[in-house]
Amino acid sequence: MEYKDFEFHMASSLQKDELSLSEKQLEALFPHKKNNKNKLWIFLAFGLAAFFIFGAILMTTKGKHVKTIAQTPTSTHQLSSNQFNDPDFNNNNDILKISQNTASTIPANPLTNNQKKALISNNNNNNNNNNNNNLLSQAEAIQTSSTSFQGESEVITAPDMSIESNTNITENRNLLLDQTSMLAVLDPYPILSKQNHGIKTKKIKCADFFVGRRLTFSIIPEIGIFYPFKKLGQNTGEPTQLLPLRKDNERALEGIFGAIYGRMTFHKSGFYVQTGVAYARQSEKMSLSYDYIQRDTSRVIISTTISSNGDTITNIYGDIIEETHFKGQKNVHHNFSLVDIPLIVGYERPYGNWIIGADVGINLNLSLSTDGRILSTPTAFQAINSQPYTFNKSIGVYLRGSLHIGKEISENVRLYLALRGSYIPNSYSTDNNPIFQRYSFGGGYLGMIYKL
Amino acid sequence: MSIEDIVQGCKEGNRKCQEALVRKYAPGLLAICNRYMADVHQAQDVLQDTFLIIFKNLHSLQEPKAFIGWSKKIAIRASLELLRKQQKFIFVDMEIVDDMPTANIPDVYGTMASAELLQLLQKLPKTLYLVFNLYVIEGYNHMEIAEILQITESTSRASLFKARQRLISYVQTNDKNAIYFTENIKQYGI
Repeated sequence: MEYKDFEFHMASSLQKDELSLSEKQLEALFPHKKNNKNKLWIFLAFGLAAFFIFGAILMTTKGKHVKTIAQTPTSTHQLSSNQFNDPDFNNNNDILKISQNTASTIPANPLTNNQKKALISNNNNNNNNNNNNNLLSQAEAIQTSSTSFQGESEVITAPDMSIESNTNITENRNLLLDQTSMLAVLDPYPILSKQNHGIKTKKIKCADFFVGRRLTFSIIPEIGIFYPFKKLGQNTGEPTQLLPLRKDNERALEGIFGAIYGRMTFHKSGFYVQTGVAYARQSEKMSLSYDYIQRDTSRVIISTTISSNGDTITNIYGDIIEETHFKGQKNVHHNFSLVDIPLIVGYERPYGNWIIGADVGINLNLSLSTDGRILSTPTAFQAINSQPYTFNKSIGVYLRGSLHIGKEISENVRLYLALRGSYIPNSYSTDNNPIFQRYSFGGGYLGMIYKL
Repeated sequence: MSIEDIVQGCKEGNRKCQEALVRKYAPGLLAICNRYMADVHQAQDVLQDTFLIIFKNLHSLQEPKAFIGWSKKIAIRASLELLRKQQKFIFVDMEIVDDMPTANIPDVYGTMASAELLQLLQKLPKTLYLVFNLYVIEGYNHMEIAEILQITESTSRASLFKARQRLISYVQTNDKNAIYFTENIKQYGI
């Protein structure tokens, strides 16, 4: 053999190991559950039918059955006397028994594979040797799997076993000696079948592809826009006329949000905890329409009487009222800035590359700062946080919850969109402020999870 | 279930399809990993990593029919990565010889099973074995091997030539033993 042929043989043999399961084999590994139910009923029905038929036959043909049983040991005994002298032949006996029994029952013309299997199975029932099962299955494998072993298979169907049995011992022995090589050829996964039974059998559990770390850490920058839902009300004290004016004219604007979180994910469960620093800024716009007339009164000479020679005789003084009509709209803003530490617990579940999750938590408010101007009289504004319209420096703890959907962009990066709601039970304003001012937020957020 | 269905199912996160993918391709990929790793346990570890990479990156696979080649490449690269972690390979350059050596190989080698062939191949020094395996068994060309192993093309060619020479020398050394063994089989049937 030329070297290049040897190399070709090497490549083709080793590549055979890479063969994957055929579709039929795969289907056999994953039977449909519904079909299984049907099969169970069919199996039970057949079992019952077979039981009744067998019982009926047993009752009607009892005599004949006994006679058949009596004949079988004779042929077995003949074989034993020829071959059991050599202990090395023990294994081969089984094949020879199969061959002889088959030969006694079938004609010389070739059989189909199914017929051969059936005959082998019949013989298997008659044999008490435990090794039969292994050898039968090997023989069956040889018959059905490869045409290159048809020669050995024909031994089984040879009509005259008494003559051929001795010569076939050697062949069968060679067959057994070569079984490692043959199985390697017949079995597409020789390495697997020898060293890794787990993967080929049905007992295998689907790998969970867990590679070590039970906790995954991520950094998450997030930005968002939210809409504050405001609730204004009267604090304890005398009713103020500013409240209806603010309720009617003050409008919350969209807020902006930015945060950076650290997340710790519990690998298998899908749960995670998350914390970080968040900043939110919200604005209120007061559009106050005004329409009033300002009157200025001044005393001036309204009439002068002059004599004929030109002397002034009298001056008549009177009031001149000057009315100025003011009409317009003032737009005044005041802003709140919040710095929070969120503490979040969440759960998420992957659907392919998509991840859907939800989380709940609290925000610990570190600071609430204000700027801008706020309505102080029905027509005027003053700087916010000046008496008596003061605001808290912190709003304490408030609640948050969100739903999010994300997509894996790369191995370590995921983008997500979240819908989040927050409820702030405490008022922004102090108790001294005649008006309390509470908020709830609802918004959309975009974040990127970067796995460390 | 066709490969298209399985890949599509896996992309959608269908557990059954994921299981089917593993069952269908694990044996073949394990065989590939086994060719590179010292023992089957290491090969199984690499297989695990391979499937991890496959499932993480399956969404990027545009053509499901290309899955087999794609997954093979992943298995090979995962194996090489682990090998590199375990030991540093030093490839020795030499004068480029690109001819197929001519030698007479005993016919008995033409009937050797894959496990025995693998055993024979693994006698080669690791660097030569890697190049030989990638070129002859996996079917990569020298340019691809150079890229995978981070060596030059000429080193790849030289290593292949050297591997072939070594293989021939092993075969010729073992020839006598092989003849002896064949005769024993004929004589004693062992």
